[in-house]
Amino acid sequence: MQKIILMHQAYLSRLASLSTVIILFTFLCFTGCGGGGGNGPNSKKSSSHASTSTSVILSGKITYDYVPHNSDFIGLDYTATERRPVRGAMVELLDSVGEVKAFTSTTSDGAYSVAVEQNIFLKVRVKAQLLNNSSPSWDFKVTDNTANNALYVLEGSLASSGTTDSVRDLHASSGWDGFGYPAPRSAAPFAILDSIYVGLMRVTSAGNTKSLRPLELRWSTKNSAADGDYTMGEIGTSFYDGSAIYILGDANYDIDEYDPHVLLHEWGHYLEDELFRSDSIGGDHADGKFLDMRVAMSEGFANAFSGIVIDRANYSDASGVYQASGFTFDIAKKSRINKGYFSEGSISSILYNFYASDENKTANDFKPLFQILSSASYYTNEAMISIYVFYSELRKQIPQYVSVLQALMREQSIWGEDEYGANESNSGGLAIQLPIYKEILVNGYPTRICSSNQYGEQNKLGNSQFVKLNITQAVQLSVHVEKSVDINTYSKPEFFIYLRGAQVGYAENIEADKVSTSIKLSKGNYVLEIYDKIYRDNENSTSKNTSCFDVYVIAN
Amino acid sequence: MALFCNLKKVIVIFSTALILLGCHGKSHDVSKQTSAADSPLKKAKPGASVKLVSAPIIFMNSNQQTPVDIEIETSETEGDLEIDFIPTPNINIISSESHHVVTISRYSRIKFPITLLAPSDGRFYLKMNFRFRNGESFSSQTLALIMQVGPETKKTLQFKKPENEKVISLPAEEKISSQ
Repeated sequence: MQKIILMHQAYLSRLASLSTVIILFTFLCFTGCGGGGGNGPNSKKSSSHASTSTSVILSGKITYDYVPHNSDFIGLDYTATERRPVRGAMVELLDSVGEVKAFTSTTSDGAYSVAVEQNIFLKVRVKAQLLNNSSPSWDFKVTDNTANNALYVLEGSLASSGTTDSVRDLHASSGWDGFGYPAPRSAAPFAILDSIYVGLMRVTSAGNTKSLRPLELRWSTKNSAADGDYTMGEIGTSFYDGSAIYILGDANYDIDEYDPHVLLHEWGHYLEDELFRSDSIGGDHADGKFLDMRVAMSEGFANAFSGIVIDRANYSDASGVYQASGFTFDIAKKSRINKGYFSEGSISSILYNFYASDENKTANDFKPLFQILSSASYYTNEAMISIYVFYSELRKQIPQYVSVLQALMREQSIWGEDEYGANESNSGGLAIQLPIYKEILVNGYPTRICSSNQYGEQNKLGNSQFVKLNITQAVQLSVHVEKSVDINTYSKPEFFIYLRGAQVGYAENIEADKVSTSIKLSKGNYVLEIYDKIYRDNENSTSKNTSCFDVYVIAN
Repeated sequence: MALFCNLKKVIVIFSTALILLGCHGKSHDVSKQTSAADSPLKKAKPGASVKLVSAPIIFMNSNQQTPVDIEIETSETEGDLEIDFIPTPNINIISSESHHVVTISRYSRIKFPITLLAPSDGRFYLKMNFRFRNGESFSSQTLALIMQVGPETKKTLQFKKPENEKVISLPAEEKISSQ
């Protein structure tokens, strides 16, 4: 009996231990697993706005100094500084020990309103952050890359909430005194944020339903044209690198916080990654240059997008002493030198003017552009993304607009008729460019392609050539590229193999004048990108040369 | 006893599965095809087609005149390129003008021999403002050389704040009133 009692007690003891384990695990499960959103308050519902017998309403408006460009679009006009609302930003009420007692976000007028306890000391904190946790979600922050990417916040002072409703308005000043920035540049992060807010609203109203990856816009007064250590502000220029956007803030040399076109150009590249597709290889670019068509499309789109979002075709970038100089160009300009599929100026002109056109369509309507760019058939297209793919997709999806687009393309000397630019006659002065896509057959005759640095290196027209390869059934292949016998220059051929823009193969050059790889490909339409590595290394652009290769694809 | 052990195992596995399921963060839409260039690419803002081809960092000693050849490359083929060299405080340009105008007639590299002097150790900059004009077309670009004078100082861990304090507080002009 005693043994049974002891066993029973042991049983109960074990059961109690088990129960404890279960409870502990369950507890861990539900408390260790908070949903997305980072900051605690932001993942919960917004605090109440209703006043009770023990609470009061604290409300107000948040504004910042916006400095516009001069009327000729060159340089900033500080005398025309205007107060603008801080829109969609997170607002917190913090007590004297820094605990968040209430939170909300500003409206499109910059207003906020929260219910707080009576008679406690609170300060208003406005975060340079746009946050939305419901679908489609977003999280954009302006941070300081020279201070461990800390978030910029605008803060008021600690004051009692009192026993009646009260108003606290906060304003972020530019810090400019007519000659320099002796005061903190409180407005800058909010000027940056507001450009993104406008872009976000345009994309949302155009029909976006996809959640966006969190993104930091990194700005500091130390961010300069020196190219070195980002944590010291040595960012080189304003850019997007796939992980963040870095923005210049070097007063009297180059600042970009008040250049919406610059900010939206970079944010446009982020959208290419998030919602659309870009096959750009990046690198130096400028209007009037002969670019790789993928780069031209990406940079042309980013320029057009910047003008579309704020409905202003005059791109402006202020710089210099007192930010009084800089440069401008007309995104919509049709008359230009070097027109073609390789010109970012031509691409931006086409896309912007298509947007603005009222011919058989609504003027200044971003929806058609958004529809094409975000469509599944655009980002799974078998060709490399260029103006040709855009044209081809518009023809299929919104054929009633094709005449408008076609006329704009013809004005820019772009004649290709499908996503591969078939029948293009504009070679950009480089005969090796045509046709835009060469073709090659498995076990067929070799295809000859030529790579050139005539227009510069790394990402210029002629550096890379594209070849279509159709595979009718899964097969093991040898792809071989070798310098043509009639060419005497030293070369280092390489190539990529793409399927719908995704890289599926790469052959690195390890031997002069030839390269090959063995690869198994399944059925599909592939694109080979072939180039001479010497013209992609950006090292000796002053000596102009052309390398030609014979390309073989053989089934094993 | 064996039953207890098995039950324990089941509960541990079940609870672990619950934890893993509960902790799965919100996934981003991944319907987008990855692009060919998966490595991080720098997509920069538009500007004059000028880039620095000589070393971006110059190492020098304080109080010692240091000759430097600054070499830039432009893909502009026609027009006038205006350059201003603007040193930050603590860097002096000893020889050479700080303002240059070069007429471009073809794709070229341009060298600017310059002698610099820094009276004290530190990290300073020589900023270069480029303005290019070709007929109606005008563009500009700012570049900068880093001058490391003396030994590089080890970076101390600044702003090593706890996660929930990682903010830069900016002052506001505030107006408080009762309703």
